[in-house]
Amino acid sequence: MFIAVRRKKAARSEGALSISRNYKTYFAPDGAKTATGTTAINILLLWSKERLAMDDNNFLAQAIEGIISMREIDRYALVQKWTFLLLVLMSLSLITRVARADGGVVMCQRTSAPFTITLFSSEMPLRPGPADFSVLLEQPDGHTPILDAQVFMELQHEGGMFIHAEATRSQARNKLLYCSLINLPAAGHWKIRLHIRRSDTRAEMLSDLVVAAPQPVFLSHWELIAVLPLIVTLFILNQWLRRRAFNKRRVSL
Amino acid sequence: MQTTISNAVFSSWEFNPWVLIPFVVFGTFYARGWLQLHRRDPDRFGFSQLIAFFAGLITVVCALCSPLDAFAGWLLTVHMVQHLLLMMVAPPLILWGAPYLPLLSGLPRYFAINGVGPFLSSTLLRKVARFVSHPIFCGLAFISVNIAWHLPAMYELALRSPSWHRFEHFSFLSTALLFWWPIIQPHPWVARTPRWLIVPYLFLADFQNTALSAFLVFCDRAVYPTYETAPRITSLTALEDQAAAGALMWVAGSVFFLVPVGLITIELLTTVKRSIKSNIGPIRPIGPIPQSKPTKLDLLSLPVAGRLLRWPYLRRAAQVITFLLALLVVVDGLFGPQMAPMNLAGVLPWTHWRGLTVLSLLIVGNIFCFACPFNFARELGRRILPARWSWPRQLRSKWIAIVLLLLFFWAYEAFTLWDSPRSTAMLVIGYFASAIIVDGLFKGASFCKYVCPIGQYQFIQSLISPVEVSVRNLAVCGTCQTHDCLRGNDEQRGCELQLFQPRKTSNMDCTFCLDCVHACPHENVSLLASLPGTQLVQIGRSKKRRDKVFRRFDIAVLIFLLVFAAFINAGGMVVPVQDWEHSLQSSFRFESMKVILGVLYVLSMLAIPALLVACCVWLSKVFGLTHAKWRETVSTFAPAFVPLGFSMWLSHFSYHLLSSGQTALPVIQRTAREMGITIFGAPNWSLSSAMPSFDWLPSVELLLLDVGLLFTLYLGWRIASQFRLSFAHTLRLNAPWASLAVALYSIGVWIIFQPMQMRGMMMHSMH
Repeated sequence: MFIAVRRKKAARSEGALSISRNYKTYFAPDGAKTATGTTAINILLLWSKERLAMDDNNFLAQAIEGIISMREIDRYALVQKWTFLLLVLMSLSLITRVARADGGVVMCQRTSAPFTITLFSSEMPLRPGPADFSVLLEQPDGHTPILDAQVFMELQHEGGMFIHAEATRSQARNKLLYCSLINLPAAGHWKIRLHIRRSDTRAEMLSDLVVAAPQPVFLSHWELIAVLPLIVTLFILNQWLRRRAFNKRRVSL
Repeated sequence: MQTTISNAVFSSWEFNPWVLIPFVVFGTFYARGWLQLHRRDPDRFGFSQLIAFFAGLITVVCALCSPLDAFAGWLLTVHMVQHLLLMMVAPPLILWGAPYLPLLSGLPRYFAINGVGPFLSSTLLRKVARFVSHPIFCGLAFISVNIAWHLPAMYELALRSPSWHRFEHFSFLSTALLFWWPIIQPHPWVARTPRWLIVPYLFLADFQNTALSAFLVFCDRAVYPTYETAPRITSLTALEDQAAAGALMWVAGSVFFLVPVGLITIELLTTVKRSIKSNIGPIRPIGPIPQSKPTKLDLLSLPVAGRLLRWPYLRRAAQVITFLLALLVVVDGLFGPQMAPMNLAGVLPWTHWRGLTVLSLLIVGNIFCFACPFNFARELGRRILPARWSWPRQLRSKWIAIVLLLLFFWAYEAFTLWDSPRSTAMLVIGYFASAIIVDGLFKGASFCKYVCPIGQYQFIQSLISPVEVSVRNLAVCGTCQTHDCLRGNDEQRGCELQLFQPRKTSNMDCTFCLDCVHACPHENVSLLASLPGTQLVQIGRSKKRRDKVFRRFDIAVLIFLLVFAAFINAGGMVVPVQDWEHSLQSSFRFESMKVILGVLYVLSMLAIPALLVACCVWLSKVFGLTHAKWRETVSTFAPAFVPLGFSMWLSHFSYHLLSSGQTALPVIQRTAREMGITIFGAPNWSLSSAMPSFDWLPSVELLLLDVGLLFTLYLGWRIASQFRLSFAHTLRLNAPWASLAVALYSIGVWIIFQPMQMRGMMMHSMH
């Protein structure tokens, strides 16, 4: 381990571990107790340093021996940096909206021979923008789901606008459902008509749909906006803590 | 049929990024850290810890991505299994993996020490952590969350809203982790309460679990109405399903609570105390910690790409291609159809060139200047013209380019350049003529450095770019006597922009011509790649490292002009702004919009920015108590705004590229057909009128702006820290600049969500 002991005797007797800038050579006493609580952090940070130092030493040794080139060392470090950036970006991408056709709330359920049809929407109330519509087809007796039908959706706005879409099982996460992701362009009253076809059998279902007024932008994308003050606050807190620790260290020296 | 249904059920998996990305992130960091710790202390960080941690993570993934989640809304029993996995199975497994040290150790070193370290060593936060990890808090949190989410109103809310449902799962998992923490006691946590207290702790949790499950079992009505209306895919009725779920909760819950009770009791009754083994092995003394140095990838040393980049004719080849494209744009603009979406001059420069340029700046570097067609033309011109004078000393600044940029932004809207192929063609011709005349009369690359507005845009934005022309080893430059990179030699000219490689610290004024690379006799100049934005971080980190160029006032003005222009240029396309412009025109009774736009552009790109920047300088001097001159303050803080401006350009141009990228195809088909090339077929004009739907585009644009703002705020803080003031004064010094950045960001957010004029498309409708 890569541990500096500021006061060797005291550290040995107390098992305390601390960082020293005065010693160029680092060592730890044999049989030192495992630090817990606060010192665990110091140990950890030292371990990280040690790890890097050991890695660097190994790398340097290997580079001198010609096993690896300095270019490879650089590449290794760069790959690490890029991996970290990628992970951060991946985490950030979480807050972008993901829409998926996937069941949800039952909007209506009817038996239109020879099917029992259940229509779901992703969220209630519906709002302009992407909305998931899912359909479950069952045989009225025994509730056996039907998986080999074709389902078409026709949405009509009170203003006369039409939207056509096919709902398929491949789009759905729940593979018992026929789903379609439809972009609802406007609020208001809509009618949704389902056309179902299974070999020679056909059925239809009509239902009303109320699409509420769109949410303000800040509400519909609140995650992307709320994350900023959070990050800024954490950063300021981080800087404040660092400054305070630095000042304390300076005073103690 | 039954097989088909069961296949459908079991194939209902979803690879949800909300679950998988944290899985990958935590898994990567844990594995990295575990590897390090396992080498040091294989007893404490053995394979059982690794397996347990990953088993816990996989349990979470199974609970949230498997058919359990897909059918949780239909069957309460399935939902109960999901919750039991999240609360009873995954948390103990994760904690058994002692994740604290491996996760911290797996973080990048700099981030662990400077990012997380201050929080972990903070006394206050440690007190908070101690309070939160106390068994009383842990138990209360677990029980109250469990009860709260089982109340019918809350449960229904979660079933109706995916966001609330995600939050419910998050709260279950987080409080369960807290609950199991005192029981498992993952290393290096040390219990502050006697071990025997865990026994009543578990009994209390079991009591709550029993009461809740008994209520579900014995209730004579369906507690959650959603399950009454949900499709019944099994033979169970809603009530039977509820009873089954309650029984499952009762039995499984009791097993999970009472088994640890038994184990802990046995542990307490055992008299043999565990000896604490020292886990710190013998230490081999090693030397001082080597200083980490900035690592950059040397592109010229890459196997294939490096050879290609070193090819002396690469730039000329790229320039010939762009020159021919520019010629095509000019010819089609002058003689082709004068409808922008049908003309190369109406589509390629405004939609594709701008979008691809800004993307290449983010991904690579200043590719446009590298392949500049105007540079190629001036090389041709120099064969005729003398190029014997030096550029006047008084004009060696960016002021000419600033004026030209202002004129261009005004002309773009006033003369609707984007909608006029002929004007576009004339603009390109004018550009060629200026480049030939200026560089035909004056030595060096005077046009690029002092005149070219596109060049200045590229120089400023390329400060974000990852690739930089730089020296490999400064020590080699120290021994160099000839300075061929600057002066050139018999075979290769030196830098025409007078950039001396050892002193160059950024991409500012660099056209990526690679003349210095070819001229250096020591092969010490290369293309080095690092993370995007590294150059700006270096500028913001230290006064000493700051290039002299960033102390110049004209550079600061250029930066602010381009930042404000990013927002004004995008804002000019949105409907409310256009409506406002038209209402101004009708109120003042002007026939032409040019005057109105002229006044608006002078106000929005000169007067208002100058006023805002002046306010920021004054406030930062007052709040920060600095005595820096106002010009110096402006120049110091200006580079911080580059990321915000760049993010706005990027979101604006990438929006056009993605939404109208397909419009190039029919125009190419038409041009090819007119040139007698029929292999591309007849023009498919429907591509010019239909816009592909990208629902995710606003989110991505917003994300880009977020990143730009955060980077700007970070740079602002770094720059303010250079003044070495107290923490409060640094905050105050930076506050006005941060407020300006936030104001610009807010404008950007507003623009993103406004209906936008679809330029370069058949439809001029709004999106």
